[in-house]
Amino acid sequence: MSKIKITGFGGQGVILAGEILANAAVMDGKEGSAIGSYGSAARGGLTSSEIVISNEFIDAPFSEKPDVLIALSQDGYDKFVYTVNQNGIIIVDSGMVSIKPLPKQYELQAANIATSEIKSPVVANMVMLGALSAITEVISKTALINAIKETVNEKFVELNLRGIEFGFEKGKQIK
Amino acid sequence: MSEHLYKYLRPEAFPTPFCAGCGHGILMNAILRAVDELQLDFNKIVFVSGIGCGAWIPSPHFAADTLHTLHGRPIAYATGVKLFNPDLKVIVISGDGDLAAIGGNHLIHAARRNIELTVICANNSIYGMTGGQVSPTTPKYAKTMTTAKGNPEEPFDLCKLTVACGARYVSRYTVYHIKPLINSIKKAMTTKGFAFVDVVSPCPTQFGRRNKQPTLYEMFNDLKARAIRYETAKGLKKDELTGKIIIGEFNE
Amino acid sequence: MPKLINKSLLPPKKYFMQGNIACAEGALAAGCRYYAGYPITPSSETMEHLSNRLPEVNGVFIQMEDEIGSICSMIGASWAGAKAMTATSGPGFSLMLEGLGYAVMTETPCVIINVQRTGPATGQATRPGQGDIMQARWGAHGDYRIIGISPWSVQEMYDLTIESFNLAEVYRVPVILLADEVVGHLKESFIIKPEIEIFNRDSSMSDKPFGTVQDDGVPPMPIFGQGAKLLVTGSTHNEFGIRKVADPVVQDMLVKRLCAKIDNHKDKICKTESYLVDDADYLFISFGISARSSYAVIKQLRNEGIKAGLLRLKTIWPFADEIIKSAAQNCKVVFVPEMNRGQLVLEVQRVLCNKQVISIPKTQGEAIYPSEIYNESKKYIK
Repeated sequence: MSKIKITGFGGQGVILAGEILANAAVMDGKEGSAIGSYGSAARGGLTSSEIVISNEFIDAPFSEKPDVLIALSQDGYDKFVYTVNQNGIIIVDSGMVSIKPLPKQYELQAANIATSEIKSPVVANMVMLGALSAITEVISKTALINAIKETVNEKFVELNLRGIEFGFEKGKQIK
Repeated sequence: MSEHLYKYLRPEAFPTPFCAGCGHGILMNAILRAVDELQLDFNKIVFVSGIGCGAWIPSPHFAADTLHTLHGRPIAYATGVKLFNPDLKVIVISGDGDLAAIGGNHLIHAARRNIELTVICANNSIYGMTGGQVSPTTPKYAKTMTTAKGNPEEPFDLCKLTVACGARYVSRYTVYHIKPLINSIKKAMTTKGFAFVDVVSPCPTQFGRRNKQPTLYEMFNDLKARAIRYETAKGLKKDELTGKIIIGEFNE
Repeated sequence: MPKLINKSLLPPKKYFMQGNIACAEGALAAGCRYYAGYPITPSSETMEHLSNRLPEVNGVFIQMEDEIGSICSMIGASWAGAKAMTATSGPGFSLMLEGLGYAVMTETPCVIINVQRTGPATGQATRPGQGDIMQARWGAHGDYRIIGISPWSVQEMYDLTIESFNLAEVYRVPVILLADEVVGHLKESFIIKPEIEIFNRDSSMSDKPFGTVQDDGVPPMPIFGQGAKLLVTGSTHNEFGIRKVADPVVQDMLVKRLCAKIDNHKDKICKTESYLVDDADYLFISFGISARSSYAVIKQLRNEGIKAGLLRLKTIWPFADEIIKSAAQNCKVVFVPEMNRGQLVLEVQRVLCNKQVISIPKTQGEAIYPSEIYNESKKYIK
């Protein structure tokens, strides 16, 4: 069983990323669950998504002590960085977050990559998922691609897939 | 009531609970005459009413499907009936407190949606059933159980309100003006859209006796004196219309 | 009672879906063809989904001016023959309570989805709670019975919505699906089976649509336009629907039957699920998302060699007294985790008055997590 937490602020696509990740697991034949938590404002505010991937029925669909923390904002990083499981890892957007010196921490500048190389700041979330796929065994790149094709509006599939590819390559470099 | 209308009634529901001098019996008669003259299928009409004296006009007296609902909500119930089965004719009969105070929100939104309902407001300007408290159509300065020194508030003009909200057919008559009232109810019942008829109906028991009109005789004289045609009213200034009851059709 | 096997509307397969949307699809599969609602977090997805889906199946969707209008128009549609539903959350549910009582009194089948959030008042609109358990049971005035059901997964948001419609139709009673924000917004996989079991109301013509010979019976319910000359009223009425506003016998008989038709059929209505209960020294009794955290805890305790079990209430109202008594027979301590200050625990304590029953409440506007239940229960586990 893998427990993942993605955290950021409203508008960064944190909840969508969680849903794509869980859906990808389901398409891989596993059980996957995603639950987002957010504030009342449609933009801004701390947002997080808890994802559980398992080979059997998921009991509590929460990531109290995540095996992987993906942090896209300072607030989220600060709030959850010490909840990570002893053997867990952190994948952090170091362009957005001033990080603490911690072991098993993988840094990439997802928002910068999204803006400068993909020309779309909104796919930083996909860059992080691509990196997750390269760094861990949690999910395969193929499953992510399939889940995006199934869930994302047709117009934006290509864009999101580029986010995954860039993130995957970056993930391989920093692994 | 004319014998040919008996077929629309439940004999076991009589005598009516209405007080001596109440105008609601006349309104009941007018509604049934309209149904009869239009030859409507009584089995395909649903009468929906709220809580109050006016709501007792159809329930239990009419031998049709009747839905006697919560206070203020008959239009919301009627919306559900009509939307799910548009083949039914849905007629709401309720009082001024029910439709315009607690139920005001449903009234304006049903008018805005222009959903095909006939809404008849049995408007006696008072909460009759609960003991004679001020209602949103009580005339200014009138005495009620909760305005012993006279009503300090302006009343609602429900016709202007529903016209402004988009109702397709809107009219006002009093139960004294029986012929035009029946014709107007017929028009309302055949309107393909939201139709609202404000029927001013005397309540000697709760309104009249506190306002120097202790019997129907004084109340009818008052209706006669205050009624003014919509067309005539158009030429008058606001202060000339104070206390008047504008009767006629409000849609142009 | 006429039982039918319906084809599910969505093609049978495994889906990955949000709880609120699974609920909407369950309603459609159950035959719901009328929805009236008002936007409210965290239940709005059900309404948004049905606004698109109902027209596809010749159903009616309306966004009403408020929650009062929503429940009332739903009751009107039910008497016009519809299987009808509304969905809401805390503040909206509070507004609906008078209408809920009306539906009970007029024996109108309908389904109310309450995706519970925190309260009181506006509380935290996007955050989960389970504080409406007692309100659902007792919120309207007067004395009455309703059926209250609690789903713990997306699968059950689908399955138990269907079950809610079936119970509403069979017992002519409003059924409240007491979901919570977590289950409503959770996305996970679930399976739509090719066929589902459907029960429809007995709508045969009757001159007694409000009374039966048995004092716990469910009368037939003709619909508007059939020529039944129905007298539907929220006032006290006799078996014909005639108002009897001062008759003590009619009032007593009516209220007794409204209660008895649920109480006397508890064994058929109440559904629970047991996990490792048989030899349990420590029994957890919970519902909804709290039961899922409890499930994680009993597995953890079992790994430590502690005999822990979980009894999960799918039906909260009527309360499953007998099932709880028998499940708790041999256990030492009973724990009741829930996301409120302790509501279900009051009923459990009533039923298990000779046992040690420990409340594990949480009101932080977030789910009750396994670690919290574990730490609290460990204080009592020897």
